[in-house]
Amino acid sequence: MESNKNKSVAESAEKGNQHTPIHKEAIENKLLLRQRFGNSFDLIFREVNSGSICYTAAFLDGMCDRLFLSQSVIRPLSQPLDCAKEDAIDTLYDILYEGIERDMVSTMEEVEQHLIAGSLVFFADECTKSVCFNAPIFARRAVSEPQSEQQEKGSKEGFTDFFKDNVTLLRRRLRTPELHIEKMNIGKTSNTFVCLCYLANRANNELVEQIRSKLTKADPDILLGAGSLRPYLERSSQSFFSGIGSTERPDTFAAMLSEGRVGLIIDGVPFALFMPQFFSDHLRALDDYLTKPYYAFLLRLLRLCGLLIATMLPGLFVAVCVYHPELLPTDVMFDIAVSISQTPFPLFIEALIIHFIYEIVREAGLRMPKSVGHAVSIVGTLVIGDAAVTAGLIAAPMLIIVALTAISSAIIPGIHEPMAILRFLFILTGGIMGLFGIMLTAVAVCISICNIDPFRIPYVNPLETLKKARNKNSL
Amino acid sequence: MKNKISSLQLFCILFVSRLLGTFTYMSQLQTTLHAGSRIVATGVCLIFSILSAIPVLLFLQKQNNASFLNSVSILSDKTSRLIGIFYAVVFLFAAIITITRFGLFAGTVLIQNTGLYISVFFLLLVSIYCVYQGLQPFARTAVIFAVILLFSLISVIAGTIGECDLSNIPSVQKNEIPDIVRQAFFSACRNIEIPALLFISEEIKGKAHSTVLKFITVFSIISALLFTVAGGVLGEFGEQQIFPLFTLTSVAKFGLFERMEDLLTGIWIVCAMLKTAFLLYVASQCLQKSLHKEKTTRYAAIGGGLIFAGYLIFSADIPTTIRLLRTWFLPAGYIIFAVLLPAVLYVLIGRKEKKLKKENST
Amino acid sequence: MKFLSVLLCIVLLFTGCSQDTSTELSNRLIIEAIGIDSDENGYKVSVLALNTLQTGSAGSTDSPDGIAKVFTAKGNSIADAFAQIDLISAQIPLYSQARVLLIGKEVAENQPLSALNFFIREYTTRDDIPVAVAETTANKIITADLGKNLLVSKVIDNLLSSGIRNGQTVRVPLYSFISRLLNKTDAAYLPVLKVEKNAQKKNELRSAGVALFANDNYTATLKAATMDGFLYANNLVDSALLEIEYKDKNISLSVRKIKTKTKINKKDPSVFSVDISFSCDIIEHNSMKQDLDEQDIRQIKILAQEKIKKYIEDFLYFTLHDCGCDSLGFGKRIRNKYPTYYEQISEKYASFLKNIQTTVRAEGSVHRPGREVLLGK
Repeated sequence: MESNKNKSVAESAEKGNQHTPIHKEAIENKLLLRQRFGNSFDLIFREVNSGSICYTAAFLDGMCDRLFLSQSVIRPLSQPLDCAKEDAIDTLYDILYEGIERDMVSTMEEVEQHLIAGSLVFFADECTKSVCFNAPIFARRAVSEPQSEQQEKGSKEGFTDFFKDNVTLLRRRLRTPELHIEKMNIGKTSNTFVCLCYLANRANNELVEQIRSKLTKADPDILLGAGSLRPYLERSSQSFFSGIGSTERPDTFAAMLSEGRVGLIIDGVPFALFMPQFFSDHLRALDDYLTKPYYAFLLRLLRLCGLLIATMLPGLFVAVCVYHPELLPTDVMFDIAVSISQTPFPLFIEALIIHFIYEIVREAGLRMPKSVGHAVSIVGTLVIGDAAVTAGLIAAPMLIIVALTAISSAIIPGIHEPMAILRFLFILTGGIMGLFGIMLTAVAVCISICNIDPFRIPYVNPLETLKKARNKNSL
Repeated sequence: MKNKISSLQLFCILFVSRLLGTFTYMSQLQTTLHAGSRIVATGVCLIFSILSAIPVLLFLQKQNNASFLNSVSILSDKTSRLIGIFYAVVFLFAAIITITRFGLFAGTVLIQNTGLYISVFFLLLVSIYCVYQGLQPFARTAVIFAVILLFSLISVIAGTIGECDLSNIPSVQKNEIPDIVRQAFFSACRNIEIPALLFISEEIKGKAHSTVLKFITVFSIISALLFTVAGGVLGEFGEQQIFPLFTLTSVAKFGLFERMEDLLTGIWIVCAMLKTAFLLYVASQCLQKSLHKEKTTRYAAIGGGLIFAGYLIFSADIPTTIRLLRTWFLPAGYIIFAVLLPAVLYVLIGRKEKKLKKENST
Repeated sequence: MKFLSVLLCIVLLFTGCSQDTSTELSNRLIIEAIGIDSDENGYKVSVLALNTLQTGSAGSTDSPDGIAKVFTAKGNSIADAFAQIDLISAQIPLYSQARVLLIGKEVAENQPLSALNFFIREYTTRDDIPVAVAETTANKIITADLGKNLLVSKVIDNLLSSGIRNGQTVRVPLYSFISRLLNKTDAAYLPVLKVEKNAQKKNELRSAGVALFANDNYTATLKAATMDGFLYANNLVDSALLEIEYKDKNISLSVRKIKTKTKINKKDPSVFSVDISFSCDIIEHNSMKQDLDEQDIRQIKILAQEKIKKYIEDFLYFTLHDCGCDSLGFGKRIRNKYPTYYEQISEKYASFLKNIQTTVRAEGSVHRPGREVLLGK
């Protein structure tokens, strides 16, 4: 009969979604946990006697602060507790309350969650509840300068991988009770903590509700990166651009929330998501608000030009040289003509090859270990750049175009991916149909961008309204 | 519920679409002899355009931006269906003429070497994609390109105004008045965008009247300005060119940059695409609402195929096409479907509604 | 979606298979200057083109063939001649970069409009390309050696562009020339160029006046004073040098801000007034004694006015009475103001021109008289 009982408890525990009550016998709970965690070496059990009461403590080695817990929890238990066996857990909960966070739980699923979160869990015979003392400690990265978004005059703090540190960074910047942060678990296997952040007096209630319901319905298996949540939040994944932005900077994130947007902080990811994101956001940076408006305007124009150059310049160059050379001044045309007369490939093919090589070099630079990074830059600069031109494989003007494109795409790193795809598309259409193809592609891309409306707000808002008051912050 | 387009977006759609006709106007299709009479004809065309738009505007006002075919169905469902199919054919035909004229322009001056069929095919493909995405993204795109178009027009005028000599523009003589009136009438009968409003009225925010009047006025002013500059700069030389405004853009100079006509006329390609997409969208809406069978996108694909087939037929014999465009066939057709039919339906629907009200009250 | 994108890319690539759809820049003959001369059977076309197939790097001046090459071909028509050039050079001609179009004297004297018909119809040619007449043949100018690595086309272009500030020549774009030629009454004009040897026996390109055309026929060449009058009257010069004699001394004036207005009389369409206003600076007077005072300045101003007025009167007399051509646009003004009268006179316009009365008024000011007037004696 006992074995049947064990079997039934085990079966119900295995289902996971069901609520398995804590067994009266501590040994049964211990067996259940061992069954759930398998042969994991870091699940440790200890017997702690306090008088006549024997507690069974469980914890995951490396996840909780053993020193703190032994001083704050285990040591006080050396004093015998004067209570009945049935009240053992309640007594433990009541007496150990100073300076320690604790929870009372009644299901094995909650016990598992607390163990994974770094708690010390106590069972006792004759008790169907368990007390969890929360003292997580694990190795984590310190707050450092953000790697992907540099600001000249702004803060040098960036998000880390631990969500609580990120919440702290945010709270320090928005010291208002209107900042609401709701924690939820997402991921069937990973159970990752995700914090929904918004300013209650700024964010649209419908928007918050919309996002909340989408997150509730989201059921990825594991959530290890911000990108895993995008398909659940976006309406259409077929567009080049996304209505959901990400940032590594807490100051940028706070600025977005202050504009009425809603954000997500995900545990284990040093990037926070914010939505909705607009096209004009790519042209803005926090530094703009720290300088004079006229200079900020110039910078935004620069970014817009950089975007156009990075996307369209190679295609335009091919289209103009092959189909519309009359657009070029004669001296420039002569130099280009002499350069390309010595290369074996047509300009169109050359453009495709060189940009493909650039993407390879860029990707290699991202993945290559730092110790080997120098070799990549030498190969990229000398071999591909200089030697290829000297050998007559590639024309110098095309190399200049690639260099200009590469530098311009660094102005707006947030949309590097769509820019890279569109660049190839423009080269393709420009090389085949000239300016006609470029314009058709530009219109198709424009239509695609205008079609994006994250959370029922147009992606091209407020540029499409042409109203001065609404566009003050865009350009 | 679909998002409605604002009055600014509607204005930009109409503006970008209609201005294509001015850019690609051919001297051979004009009945006026010189720039002076052409400018006067533009002014007279303004009056004709407003007059011809009255039935449509009255209809829109009466139905309070409700669907045109829904309003017509009060007479009978069969009538509504026939009207819908008839107008769909009209808009598809208008799109064929647009594509043929633009194809002639592109083949002559823009892309002499590339196979035009391929270019037109891709233009139609992009148009179908626009219809697939719906009216809202199309309207937003029109706003963006309207701004770019305005800049290009300013640059053309600024780059050529220095060479403009108004004495090159002959004054109008009395015996030219019949030609001017005829030209103005022909130009007014090319405002296909106005009857198209009947079929997108439920997607327009607010009243469309002021937007339509503004559009007609601004379009006439810009056309007159372009004809003035073209006549003043090019003189008799402009009359020898098939596309005088293209020649004007080739003469425009901005510092180092001299031959900018390819870049400037690249915007005109967008106008052609947007106009085709607009007409295709309206035709698809007509078919979808009349036949209730397929999705709008499927009708768009079928419509695109028909437009391409029509283009192949018309472009096979350009002289005949040009002769057709000079006859009274198109203006007569416009008068019927853009002026008379809405006016007649307006009266009939009004009577039917009164009758129904009487019956309901008794 | 991915499948459709891949299909679209494949379809796009296949459309580029045809060799006709694209031409590499190195396969184009970049034409810098075009010269048209008469030939027994038609035309002889000379083309100065950039040598893009040279060995060495771009911009290298060590190429054995030099930076440019001249191709010459004959044909029944201009188009035929260009087709021959296509064969000779093995490159497709690119007309859009041509800086100048030269027509030989024979072509200019025999209905130049027919020679230019190719350039009116061909859309890749520049409509604002400057046109000029060669005093002898266009080929002589195009093949002239003006110096190492000096492109003839650039020299011609610079020379024509300089006319606006030195009053020595005029720059006429093709469309303007054609527009005037097609007009029933207007006279068209083109600069005349020649190559001659200087004191060092090196070739130099010079302006040789302005050629006038009426009704598609060459009429006359304006030189010296009549050319000056023509340039002043037509607002074709921004600044020019004017030499006057005052108290047996030569005074050099820099004439600027020249504005000429031609008005038709409100009552009589054959009466015109030509009003010219200008400003001048005294830039030199060959006297060691600095003795100019206000009285002198006033006198100099009057002399300048009279000289410019004489230029214009001489020019008008020469063109209206001797040549019978309307180079000031009188016909256009009559057409715009008195269209019925215009219809009557347009058939016998040359004889009407002889009866035109013109009143010339010149109003000038001395802007910078010099140190002595400002500071006093």
